[in-house]
Amino acid sequence: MSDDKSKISQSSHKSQKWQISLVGNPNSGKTTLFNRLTGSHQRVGNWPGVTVEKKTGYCPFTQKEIRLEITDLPGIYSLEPRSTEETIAYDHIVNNTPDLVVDIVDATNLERNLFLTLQLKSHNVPTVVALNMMDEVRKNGDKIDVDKLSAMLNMPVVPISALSGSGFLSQIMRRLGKNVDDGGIGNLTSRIVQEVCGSGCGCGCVEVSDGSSKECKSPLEVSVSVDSTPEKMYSEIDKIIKECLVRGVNKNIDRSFKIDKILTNKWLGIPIFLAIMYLVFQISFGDASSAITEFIEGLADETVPQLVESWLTSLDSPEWIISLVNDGIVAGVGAVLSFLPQIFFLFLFLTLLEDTGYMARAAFIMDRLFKQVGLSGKSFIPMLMGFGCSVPAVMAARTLEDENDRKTTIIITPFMSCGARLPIYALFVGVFFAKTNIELFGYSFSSGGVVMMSIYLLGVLVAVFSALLFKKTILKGDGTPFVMELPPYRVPGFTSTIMHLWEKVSGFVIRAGTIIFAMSILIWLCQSYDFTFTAVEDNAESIFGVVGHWIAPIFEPLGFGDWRAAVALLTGFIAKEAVVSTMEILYTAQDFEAFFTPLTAYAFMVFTLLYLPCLAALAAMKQELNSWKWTIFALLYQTGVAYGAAFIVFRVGHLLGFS
Amino acid sequence: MKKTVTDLKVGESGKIQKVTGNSGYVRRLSEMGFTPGTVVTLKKKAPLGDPLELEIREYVLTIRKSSASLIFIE
Repeated sequence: MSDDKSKISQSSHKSQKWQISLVGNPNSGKTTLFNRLTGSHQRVGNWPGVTVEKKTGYCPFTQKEIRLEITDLPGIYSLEPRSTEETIAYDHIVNNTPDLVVDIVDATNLERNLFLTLQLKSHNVPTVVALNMMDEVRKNGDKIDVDKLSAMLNMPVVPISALSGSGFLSQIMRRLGKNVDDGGIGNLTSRIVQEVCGSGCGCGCVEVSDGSSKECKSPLEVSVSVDSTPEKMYSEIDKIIKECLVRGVNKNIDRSFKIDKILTNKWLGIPIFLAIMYLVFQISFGDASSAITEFIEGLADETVPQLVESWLTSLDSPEWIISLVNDGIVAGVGAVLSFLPQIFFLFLFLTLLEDTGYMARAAFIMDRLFKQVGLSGKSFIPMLMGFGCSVPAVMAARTLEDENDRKTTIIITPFMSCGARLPIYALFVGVFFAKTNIELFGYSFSSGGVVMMSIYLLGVLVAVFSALLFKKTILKGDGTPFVMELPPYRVPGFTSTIMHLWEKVSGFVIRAGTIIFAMSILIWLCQSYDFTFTAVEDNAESIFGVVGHWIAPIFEPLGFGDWRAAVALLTGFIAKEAVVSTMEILYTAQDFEAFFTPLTAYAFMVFTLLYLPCLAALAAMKQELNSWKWTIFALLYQTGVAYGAAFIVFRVGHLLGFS
Repeated sequence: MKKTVTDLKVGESGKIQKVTGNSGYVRRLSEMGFTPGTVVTLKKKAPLGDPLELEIREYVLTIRKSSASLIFIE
């Protein structure tokens, strides 16, 4: 332990910034605690060296000179570097040596959580144990002897309940200086400060409640070493449990079993799962959000352009500025923003499903089907998230332990139609399919709904078929088994749900305000000027016109060999929303209806569903696959499949007499 | 014939004797608490018959039948 001491005194000479890392099992409340500790002072960045997302935040303190840089590591069960997440955590803790590790232990499940704690101990990592969910422990009637636990681990142990007092109201009350139960967060932070800056605290001496220090080496201390087997670790844990824990009734686990009697019931499980999925999509893409979408579209198409025009005219602005603002920026950004309600609802539901614990049940129910195509139920989560956005979805594949399962999931996830593609379908369906009906089994369906669903279904089918193909050929499984915890059901914290949602939605709005904004200007410039930067009358002679005419023949066999469609697909590589922005800018309503037919519209939708994902998703794929070879393979595969599928749709549709 | 977890009926428990299979799998399960002498309970089967829901060391997890058949119980 003398190493720790010297390291701490060394770094205190350098600066007063301390590196704190949060580790813990999945579902131990780590992210909630991170949010509590850092408040709004967080940012997401990239790991130096390893290219994986890390979250860093600064803990705001009363003592201004102390800066705690807090890193939220992925949830892990073991420090043994086997899966990607474990490797990240291992590298950070063992090789990066943070000043202090805060180990979040779910006190309602001490046994398994202490395994990681003992591993940290065996690596001599300076650790403070945050014993979380103490409120639930009290409710269950469990009794934990915190002082004894601390003595046996020879680590400071601070009981907390990260969720309690984290509510919106409590936060406001606290801002107002009211004394609100903070769930022990204050104790934890002062203990952290004491550990990193207090004198001689590196040895992890135990402080008893009267303030005096015990002997550094407690006679109770359990002994583990780096090469202790899991059996040895658990036998030490059994000793600790015997000494420190008096069990009551685990109400949480009992309640979860009761809920699961219905939710994962043999007969009801699958119908309920399908009903939940249906509800998620119905609400996200249904009438309520469409109404908001129409309202935003109305603003972007009429209200705002009129206001802008009268305002700019009153300023004597030249014609081209009005065109740039209205036809470029307002049309482009508006087309994307009109899609905000769908993004909001979809991410709200995904967050709720995840935080309540249902997502793991969905994987439990679906595993059998995923096994058929060579994947595991764990692939379900990234694929479901793929309907929202491919970027977090591709990252979510990290929970898969089998390297080949992970690669396969990353490559097929972009086939799940991401939210940004929705406005493309909405545009085509609105123009070509909304006014007709399809007769099936004597019922009449709006063909718009059927077309929309067929696109989503096609994405799923292509993903499944691709998984089957890869798992049978180049990415055969290495037999890593499917082991997944079914966490107890919990009511998600309001604040943490909102924070999670805000992160996603604000990301979308920021994209609309930055990338799409810039893209809209660029698109407008490229369609208004030619290569000599002279304004053109007919946009077919513009930069886009020339480039578009050049690549359009590639799409001729698919039925949409028009330069404007070709350019739209090109801009779609930057961001999928840009396809719609480009079309809004390049086509007039009459041109659009004259050029596309229902059949070519459908072929175009199929192509945009399947072809290479946007730049952001590409970056995420490169990062997660950690190989250019595989990334390029994925892009070629996706685009090849898109071309083939659109070709078949167009040709076969033609033969069947569709137009 | 030795008994494995797959031989348990829903609601039944057994004491783990030995976990077999490839080393990575044995290690993973022992880290999750599947050590000799530990009691494991089969709580339920998924609606499609596979995977299984097990309770061990005060928590719940799921593994496939094929994996469960490698966990021998007394």
